[in-house]
Amino acid sequence: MADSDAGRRDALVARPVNPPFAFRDGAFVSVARFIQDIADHARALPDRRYVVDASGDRYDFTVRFLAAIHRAKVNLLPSQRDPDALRSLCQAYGDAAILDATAAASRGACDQELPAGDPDGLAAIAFTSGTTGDAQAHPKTWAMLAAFRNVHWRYLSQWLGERGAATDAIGLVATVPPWHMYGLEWTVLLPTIAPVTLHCGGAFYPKDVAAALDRFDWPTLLVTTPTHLRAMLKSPPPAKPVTLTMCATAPLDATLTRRVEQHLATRIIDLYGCSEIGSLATRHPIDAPAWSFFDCFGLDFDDGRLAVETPFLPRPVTLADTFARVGSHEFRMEGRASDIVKIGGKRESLAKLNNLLLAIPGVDDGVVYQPESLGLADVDRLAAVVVAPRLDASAIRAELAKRVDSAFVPRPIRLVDSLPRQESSKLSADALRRLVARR
Amino acid sequence: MASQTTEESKMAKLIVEVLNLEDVAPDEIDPEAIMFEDDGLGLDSIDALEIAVAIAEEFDVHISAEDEATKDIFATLRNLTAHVAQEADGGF
Repeated sequence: MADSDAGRRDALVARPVNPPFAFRDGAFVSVARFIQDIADHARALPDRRYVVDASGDRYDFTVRFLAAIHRAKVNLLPSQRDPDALRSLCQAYGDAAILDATAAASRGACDQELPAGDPDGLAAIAFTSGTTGDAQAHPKTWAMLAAFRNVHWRYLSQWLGERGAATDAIGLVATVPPWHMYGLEWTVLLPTIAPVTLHCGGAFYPKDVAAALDRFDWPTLLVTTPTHLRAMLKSPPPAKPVTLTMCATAPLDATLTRRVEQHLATRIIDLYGCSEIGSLATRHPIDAPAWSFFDCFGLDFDDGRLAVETPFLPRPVTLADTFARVGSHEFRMEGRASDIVKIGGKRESLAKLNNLLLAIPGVDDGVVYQPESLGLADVDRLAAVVVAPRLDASAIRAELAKRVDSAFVPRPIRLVDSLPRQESSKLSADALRRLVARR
Repeated sequence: MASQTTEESKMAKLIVEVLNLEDVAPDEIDPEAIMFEDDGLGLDSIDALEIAVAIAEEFDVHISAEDEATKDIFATLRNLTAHVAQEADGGF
């Protein structure tokens, strides 16, 4: 870790007072007001070890996330956010408290140097789908989150410098939720160290994202996904150039990169990460297509597999993708070694989806798979080919929708008489493509 | 179910095409049913984005979450069609 990343590790908020912390409901929120809000919410937190935020508001989420850490509580970060999923998560964690917009906070005295309650203790647990169907828990200490936050700011300053932009005020607009690791790191944690004004509220449709970016008279950072960038290409761009556009959840191709950079007058930073650690590496899909890993990580490369080491985790994390080495910290992605699919920033296991499909009464055989992207306009939905003589596609879809996030319900679901399984009972990608293409 | 107007049937075709809902017949979409619930079409926020993009391309109408009650606009085929018809310069 570089020396400049070491300072003030315990401080929840260690940033300049300018620019304002957030833009929300048509007005700026000062850094002092933000810190006051954290202190007020910290006092109002229920006396439970685990808390989960159920509101969707980015500002409220940030305040409560930090308030919980100030009180040495643990933030649960489920990706499934429907009421049933939240309730069962709370039960699993000994009656964790659900925080929502009604949690009132009274004004009180506030120390402007709010520390983390227990910097080396647990601050958050992120959840992702495991291959067995149970959610996997990824624990995070404040020390880990704060250290990486400092690294991210160091890199962001460098990227802004390369764009010839000032680094003393950045307008941040995000289309990704704050409770995923990507959104947490770049829209919740980054503004606690960097001179960032966080745009809060309603940046989802392209028109809103453009309007949000145009609110700022200083350099801007857009934190988004390929899905949103494809949508933005079909909508009028913001009036001003977007200084940097960070994109994660799926690698960007060169064509989309070129079109987005022209349309938004921006520079793409393509980001790669894993749930265990968070952001790991960046690249530019045209100028530097290999992933360049942040210098705070130790990397162990063996036979295509890359293990990432940090002082904050007891063991190195072996990444799910396979790589080829092209430099000391640069690796070209070769392929996917796991069956995890990512859609809309959510992760799910193909093996689990296949098991759920086959478990539906009336389904004799079937497979859920990820077709290659069919072109710029397509969201990379899953598809399914199913043998179920007594069911129709909408019945199968309804059954799956009860059990998995709607992002992973296959579309199309194609009914067939039998699957072209090979002797090993495997299905070739070619055979599947032929089946699905045949209408 | 309520019957579709000409405009609603055009919008229904667009939605089915854009979202790859090939097991749904456009004329079977109840214009008053809630589209984003599991017992409706079971659509999600990625679909809302896709529909918004298609509407921008087809009608040059740009949907905004800051429009009054975007949730209502997307609630049903009827609301969505009415909103686009109201905003579209060239009409349907």
